[in-house]
Amino acid sequence: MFFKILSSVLFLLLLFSQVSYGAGTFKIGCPAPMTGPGANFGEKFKKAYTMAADEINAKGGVNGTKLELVFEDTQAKPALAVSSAKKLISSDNVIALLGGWSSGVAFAVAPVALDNKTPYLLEHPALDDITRKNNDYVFRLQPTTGMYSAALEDFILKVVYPKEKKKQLTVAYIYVDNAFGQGVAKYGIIPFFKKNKDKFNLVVSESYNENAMDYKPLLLKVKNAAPDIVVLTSYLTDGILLAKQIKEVGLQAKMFTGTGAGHSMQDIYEKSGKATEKYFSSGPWHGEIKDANWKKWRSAWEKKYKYVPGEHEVEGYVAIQVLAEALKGVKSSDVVKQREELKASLKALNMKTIFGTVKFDNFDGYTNQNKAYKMTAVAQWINGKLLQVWPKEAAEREPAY
Amino acid sequence: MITSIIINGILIGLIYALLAIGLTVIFGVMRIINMFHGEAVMLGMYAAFVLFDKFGISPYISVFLTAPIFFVLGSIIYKFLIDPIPAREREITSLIITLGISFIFATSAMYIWSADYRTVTLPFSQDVMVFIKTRIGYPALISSCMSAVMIVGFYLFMSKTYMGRAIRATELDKDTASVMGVNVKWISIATFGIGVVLAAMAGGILSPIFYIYPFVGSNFVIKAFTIVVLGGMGSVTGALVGGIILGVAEALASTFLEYSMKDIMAFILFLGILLFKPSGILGGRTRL
Amino acid sequence: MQNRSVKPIVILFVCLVVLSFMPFIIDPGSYKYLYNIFFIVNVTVLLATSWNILGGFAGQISFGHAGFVGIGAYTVALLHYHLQWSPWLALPLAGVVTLLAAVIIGSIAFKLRGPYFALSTLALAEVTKLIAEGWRSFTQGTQGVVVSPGPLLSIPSGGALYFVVSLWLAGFGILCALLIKLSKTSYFFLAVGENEDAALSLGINSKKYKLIALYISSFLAGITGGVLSVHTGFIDPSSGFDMVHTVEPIFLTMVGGIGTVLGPVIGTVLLVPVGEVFRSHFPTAHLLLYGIVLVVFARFIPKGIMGLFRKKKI
Repeated sequence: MFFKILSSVLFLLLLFSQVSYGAGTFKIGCPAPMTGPGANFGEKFKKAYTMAADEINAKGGVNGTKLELVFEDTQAKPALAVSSAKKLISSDNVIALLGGWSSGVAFAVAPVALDNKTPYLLEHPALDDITRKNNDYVFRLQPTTGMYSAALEDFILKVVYPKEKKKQLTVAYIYVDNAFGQGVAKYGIIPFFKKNKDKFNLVVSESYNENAMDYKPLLLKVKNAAPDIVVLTSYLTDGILLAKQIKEVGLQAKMFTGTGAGHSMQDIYEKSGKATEKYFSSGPWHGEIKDANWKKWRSAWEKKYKYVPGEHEVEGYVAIQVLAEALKGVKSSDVVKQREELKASLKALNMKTIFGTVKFDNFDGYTNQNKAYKMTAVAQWINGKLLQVWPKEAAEREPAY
Repeated sequence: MITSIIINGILIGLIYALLAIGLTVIFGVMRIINMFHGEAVMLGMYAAFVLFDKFGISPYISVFLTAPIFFVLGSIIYKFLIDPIPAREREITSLIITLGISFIFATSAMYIWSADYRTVTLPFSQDVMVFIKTRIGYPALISSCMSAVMIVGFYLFMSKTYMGRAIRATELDKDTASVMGVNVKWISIATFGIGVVLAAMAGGILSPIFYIYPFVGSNFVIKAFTIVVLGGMGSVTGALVGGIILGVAEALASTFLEYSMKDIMAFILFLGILLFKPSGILGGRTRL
Repeated sequence: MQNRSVKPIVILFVCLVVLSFMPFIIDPGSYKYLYNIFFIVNVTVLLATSWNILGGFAGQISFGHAGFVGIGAYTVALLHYHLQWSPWLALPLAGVVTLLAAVIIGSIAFKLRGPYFALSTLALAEVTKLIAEGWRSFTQGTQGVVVSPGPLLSIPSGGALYFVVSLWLAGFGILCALLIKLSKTSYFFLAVGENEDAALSLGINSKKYKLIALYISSFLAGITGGVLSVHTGFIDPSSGFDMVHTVEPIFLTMVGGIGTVLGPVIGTVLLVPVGEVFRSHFPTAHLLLYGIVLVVFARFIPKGIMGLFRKKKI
């Protein structure tokens, strides 16, 4: 009986594995969290990819070939993402992989892309290590965690420090314990404050588990240290609870700032009961906001999805455009050759997008990394809107500081 | 700072205790571990959210309005899915059935309300009172106080009413209770319903100070289990004491050690109790 | 061992040998996804069998298999990361280290009966996960560890190698279950699982048999974890200690037939491929399906598929 069952299952599988073979589209594999705690991020990227792909397909696709998005649920779990990626590559025959939302997932998927010689374009996973492994098939268009704080560091040095007129400012840093949080801490915030020891004193620097319910003990500890600046690296839910509980314990500081992720999402303002008013957030910017195309895109987005897009939406949208642009250089029909052509095409790409210029370089130990230092900005929550305030050229208003 | 930390620890501990009571009651009477306890909490949170969002009813009131619905839900689940299983296999099979139900609830919630995070933001959500130099937010204060009131209320219910005594009699000895004229089957069904109601009420009360999403239940389950073991399975006072001990221990650990040590603390307590005093801090299971 | 006991073992052996030739018939190079599913099936058979030895044979429900799997996975990954061991060679140690953890948890948990054991194993899974997250200098914390398997005895790692290794590991698990089932021990297990008081009164050292079941089960689960981390090439706390490793074996064993040797095998072979296909087409619905199947089987078909087919349970 064992054999009967096995053989029938085998047969079924053979059928399944044949189904999706050689259709006349460019298939793009999107491992994304569709269930589990990351599900609402997966949803954002799905909307962004779909919008861009629909627009391109409406114009006839790339060289007459339409784009097809193939989604796989990763639940934001790296191991599951690895098997999803393997499936997308070997069974769906996707020409490229895209995104994955979380750094943990991308860190695990990148070696799979290399093993299978499939280009993997990152538009949000930010952990620096991913593009520091000499992996020639991984491309990243957006800033890394180390770059996330570039604009913030500039802002603190040029605006906050001179204004305080103190010899040394005290700083408390709280960050979520996962690949993203560790990355921002290790490559961005902590080295910055250590490097400028004469100006800043890092009095608290602690990580927390992202599912924690009660942050008050930690916040009381921070309050006791009476910092001038509080820096938070959080996702959404933890960011909401932190903001609420900061008010509750009465922790006050000259400046509260997040580093992208949760602090750049509209939800954090509303769902924390406006507790993040005046908070800064430093991270990938929201695009070339003074550019006419960006404005056009933004109003189209609001019309279609009824909410204001942030960094995730623009990143996802641009990622598809970048792939589509690079796909113009793909001529052959065999998917293995197509992947090589796409890779070469991505390497040569130099494209102006609504997110900024995308060009993949090798520098300072990075491979195929867009020099996206400039694509970061400090934004601030003012009356329920997250507006960019620094650097000057991206500013939508003056910082309320 | 130390008083603030302890006071906050007690307040969160009261909520932990309420989270655990539904679990401990079901376990005490029927020797069943309800694996969808966390999802019942989640449904309670969504019920509070919907009533607040659509009709502006405060969660502190709506928990009482939705209680009958959850009672019926729990009773039906027990009557049709758990009760018919032969007693000998019930302990193990019920684990698996309730686990299955937890998946069904979580995914259904996802289809109904999507994966978005929700919060209940009360008008006074930013107000704070000061008590012995400790700042306490009103929502946190009210939630904790309501937890305390409900725990006391439930204690009185169990010790003073006929129903409560019948439940305890069943807990002690099914056969004797049955001889004494207690309808053991109905008591079991009702107890399961009550357990689910308590979980859902805990969810409602928690909703103003936490966030809501379909898989939020798993955040509470481990805490609830820890408290149940800490306090002794089936004991209401045990759950109260266990909850407060856990709340304070976590608060102290996260202040004086690293914050990330907080969660390990719960398990050290858990394993320590299992090792040295397996019947729980307060001792035997006959305790209320 | 009598004749009756030798036959199933011979059949098992023949099956394994025959199936080992599969890569010659179906080319692993062109059917990567298929081989990925084969691998998952094999490994899950091992894990479900492991759970069944403890939960089905000895009646001790474990909610901690995620912990065992995680310990096994990290043993391989860390030996590779810190000492540059070949992950293949570290595989047996994954079982041994997990067994050591089981010795500790067994000494605590079996002081008590019934659900305490289930809860203790749940706690074990959580504690080990927290350690893997917190002890950054040793485990790399939440960032995870990359494992690059390399060749085994000069056979390059790839679909065929993973398939054959996982197949024989699954075979080893089934063999363990068969040996227990065919020996006198199985009656003691049965007695302990069904009614511990009666077993005790008959002079059966119930704790001893529960411990034996726990040790075998944890060893097999540890190996599962090890081979998973070799195959994935990456391990982090969220995937190593994923609750799925606890839930899935319970689910598959229930469907196939708890307490039987073939039950977990049938459950896995039938449902895992369907689940994989289902998951990629309906990303959110598979959990719902899991839930419904669990409830329906536990309530109405408690003996599982095996119970529908035959009286004599192997």
